[in-house]
Amino acid sequence: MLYKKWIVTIVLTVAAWAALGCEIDEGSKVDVTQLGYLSCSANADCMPKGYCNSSNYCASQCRDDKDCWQFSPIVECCPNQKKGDEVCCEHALYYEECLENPRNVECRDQMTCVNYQCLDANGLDKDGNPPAYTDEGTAVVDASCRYKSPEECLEFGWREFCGNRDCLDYGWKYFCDEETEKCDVAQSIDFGEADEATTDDFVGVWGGILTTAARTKGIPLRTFQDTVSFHVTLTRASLQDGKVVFDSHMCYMEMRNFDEEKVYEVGEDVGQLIIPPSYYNNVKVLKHVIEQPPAFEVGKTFKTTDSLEVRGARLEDYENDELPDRTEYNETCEPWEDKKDDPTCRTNDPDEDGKPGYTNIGIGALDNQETYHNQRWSCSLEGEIIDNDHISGLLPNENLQYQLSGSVPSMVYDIEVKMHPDTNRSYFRLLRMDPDATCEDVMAEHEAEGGWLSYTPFLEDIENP
Amino acid sequence: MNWQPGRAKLYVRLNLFLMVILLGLSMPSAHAGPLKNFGYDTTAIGSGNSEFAYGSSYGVLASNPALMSRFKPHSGLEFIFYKNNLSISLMNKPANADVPITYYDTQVDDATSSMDRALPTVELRNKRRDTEVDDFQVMLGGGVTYSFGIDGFRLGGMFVAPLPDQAHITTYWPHEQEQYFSNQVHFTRFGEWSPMITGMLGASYAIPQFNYLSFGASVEVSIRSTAVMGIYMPALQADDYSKSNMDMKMAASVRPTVGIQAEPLDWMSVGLTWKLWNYLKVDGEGQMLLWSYPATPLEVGDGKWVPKRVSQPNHDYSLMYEPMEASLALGFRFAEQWQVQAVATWNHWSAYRTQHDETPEEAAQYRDIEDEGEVLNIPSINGDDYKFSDTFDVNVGVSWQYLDWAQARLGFIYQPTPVPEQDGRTNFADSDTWCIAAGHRFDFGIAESQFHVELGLQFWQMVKRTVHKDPAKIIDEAPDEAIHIFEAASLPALEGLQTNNPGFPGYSLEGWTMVGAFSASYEF
Repeated sequence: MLYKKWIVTIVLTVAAWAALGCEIDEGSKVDVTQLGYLSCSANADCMPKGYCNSSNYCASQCRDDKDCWQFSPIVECCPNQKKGDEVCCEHALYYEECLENPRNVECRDQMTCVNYQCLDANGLDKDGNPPAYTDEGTAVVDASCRYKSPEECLEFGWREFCGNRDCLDYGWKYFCDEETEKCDVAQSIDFGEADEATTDDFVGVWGGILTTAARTKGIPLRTFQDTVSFHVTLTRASLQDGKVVFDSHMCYMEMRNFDEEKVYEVGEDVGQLIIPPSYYNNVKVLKHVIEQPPAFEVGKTFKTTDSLEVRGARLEDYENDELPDRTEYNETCEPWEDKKDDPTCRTNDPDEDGKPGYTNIGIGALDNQETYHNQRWSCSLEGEIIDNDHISGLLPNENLQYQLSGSVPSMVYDIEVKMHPDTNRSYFRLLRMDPDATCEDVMAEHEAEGGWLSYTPFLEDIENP
Repeated sequence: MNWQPGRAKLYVRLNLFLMVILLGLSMPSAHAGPLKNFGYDTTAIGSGNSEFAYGSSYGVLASNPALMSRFKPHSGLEFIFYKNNLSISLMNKPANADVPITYYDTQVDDATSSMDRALPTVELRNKRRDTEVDDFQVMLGGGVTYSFGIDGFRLGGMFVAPLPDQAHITTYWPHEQEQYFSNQVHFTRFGEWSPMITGMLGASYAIPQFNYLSFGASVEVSIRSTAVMGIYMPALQADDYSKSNMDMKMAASVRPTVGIQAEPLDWMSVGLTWKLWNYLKVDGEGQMLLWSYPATPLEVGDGKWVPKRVSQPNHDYSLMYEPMEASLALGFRFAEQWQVQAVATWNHWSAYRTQHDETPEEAAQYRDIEDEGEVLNIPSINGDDYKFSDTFDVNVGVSWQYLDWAQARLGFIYQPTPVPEQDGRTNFADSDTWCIAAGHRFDFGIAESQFHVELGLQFWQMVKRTVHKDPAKIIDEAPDEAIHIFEAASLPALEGLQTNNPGFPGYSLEGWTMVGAFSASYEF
């Protein structure tokens, strides 16, 4: 019995020691003041995208709707019931109404779909291709055009001579005959107060490349996407009231994705949006004005007025009216087929593909699906005269864009587009051309590797001549 | 053929033996989980898993298989359960330590090219929260030892199967990357076990001429698997649609246990056991094919156009790691009634591998993040500070045969934690554990057959451990250098330390576990 007592005593003693004798405490309590947070006394101390919280540290989680507007005007601060805290969330769901919207690849009436563009079937050649702007005018005289009266042009927010736009591909001498709706040639180019093109002044015909680099956030699976759009233009510089006016007709537009390392050719990235011809053949002729033109001398600089363009929206005041967002579009324009002509619907179809606004097409992983959007953008030219035939400079621009709908719900998302922070990626170059130059001539200069009008990521990538 | 009672008994024995052997062989995997701590049968549970020098049931297959030769062959069935009540309480996190949603607006690439990016805290699937482990787990087991009429020889087998599911494996990241999943801190060694069916086979032999010595060996059978998942995504935008195929290979691997027992004196026994490490190794790989333009010769570099394929080879797991062990036991008998034994077990925890097949020191040093790309301001960590320590467990058991048909048992276990101070990135939650155990055995006969039933109980306590993090060792997941994508300026709200590491700024853990077992055995 002695053993029993001895053993039980030892076991109980060890157990009691283990139960009571130890608690492990490691490290020292974290001191919040040592964590490096930025102290503040006012919201202004925490800009951008922040506010001064009740602990007097800068924070950027949402407290109310205003804190969410930084993401998008249609986002609000709302309770997250699952997690019991506040998160930014969308006002409403947008997708349901689009689910029934079939993908419309049919063209209206007598139009034929060629390369994403609805064209007049009668204007196609025997192989079914659209009219070429080759062969020096032979195609031009017979080329079809869609005449629009100045009133119709202004309804789109375009310039009053937009009815000639189909013919400007063939040169600034051409116009669309109202009666025949065929391109015809004028006696001379209208250079305003200047009689004719010069070789040592602004007045004349220029080929141009206008490059806008943008950063878009809100794209699924990506924090943001950098894109560059370059606009190849046939530009007329004229003199009006002592001011130099650049009218830039769009020959071609292309959009590419890029990142810090690389600009991706079309089709090279996993997925991207492309700009179909129906898009860039139906945009406004840009207008930039040098109010006080400098003497045309090497090294002189100038700055133009902004050229404002609204795409895909019918506005009373194109400069100041709010662009319709998707909420408004859903409320006033859907179903699109039924309501597109309704006066309350402020969305139109300038690219004439039967879809609201302008259509971009997603290729690669985006499965050729379409997205429909509207846009208000503006840009100005901050140029320098390089020599008699070359001008270049930066292209400050602003951009507001709403995605209205898409061929599938997954192509509809809230985006915010801003000019890329690296301003040297947004630039323009002008090259003096023959007054009879066509878009084809400009495209040839654009496609020449290392040429003044070729695309390069940065303005300074091509040395001055 | 005449039916003879003796032959019927032999058939029953052989059938029982074969049944258990077949069960043991058919185990898809064999891992101990909690049984490493508790013991594998009722006898082990009631004696504090101390049967290394003296033994009386087939549970010694896991402790010291040499002991099988020391007791009468028998077969039995077990019913085991345990109930946990363990918790990890997180300390309050400073509000500014959350990763703000404006992090989405930053050009993260400026600060890190790593893919291991934090999500804004409010966007995490689960909110950071305490961990409560209050499982009630039931297991059914059985075992047999048999001599085949050979003096000193035993062949044995046993299994323990959790109910209702025979396997339930859950994995966790031990650091901030758990934010994407449970967003909790989890127990490492004790408490959050993955129930898994367990099987073991072994043999022992005590040479009659040298009866004071007995040798034994047993094996646990485990599975090594390789799984390749092929995925075809027709459209990246349609992220809820894909096609997949699985290519899985499984191969058996074994964990041997070798034991020796010596009884140089009638009242003294020495046991020595060595056991190899064990874990379930899974090599995982994902292969994805995208509907997209092929990679250009410029990208590929060998003049070919190659379809866009993505391979993700790093999905390896090391599950339910158990360290290599070596045990030395000393036992004594007193006055024919008392038996005392004490065991010291060396556990080679310093070779531990995390569930995601890293060493703790690798995980602590942000090596996975560094491997993904250049990262600014990654804390400098000495990995050796976070290496697990080898430990010595102590098990003590006492039994008292106070009647011819009744035996009482007591046991005590102390297991120091191998986990060092967790003031840095990792949150391996563990602390010292101790246990008191009690058991009882009743022997009885029916007709000419001999039976015994047993009861076993354990109470485990995890010593309270409080961990405070050192902010200098925690990576700033929303780096101050990350500038706004539009404003091209840094965001004041990102200054200072932001982290979704659920263990920041600290946590404390403690709790208890109750274990109960009942068995009924038939002696051959």
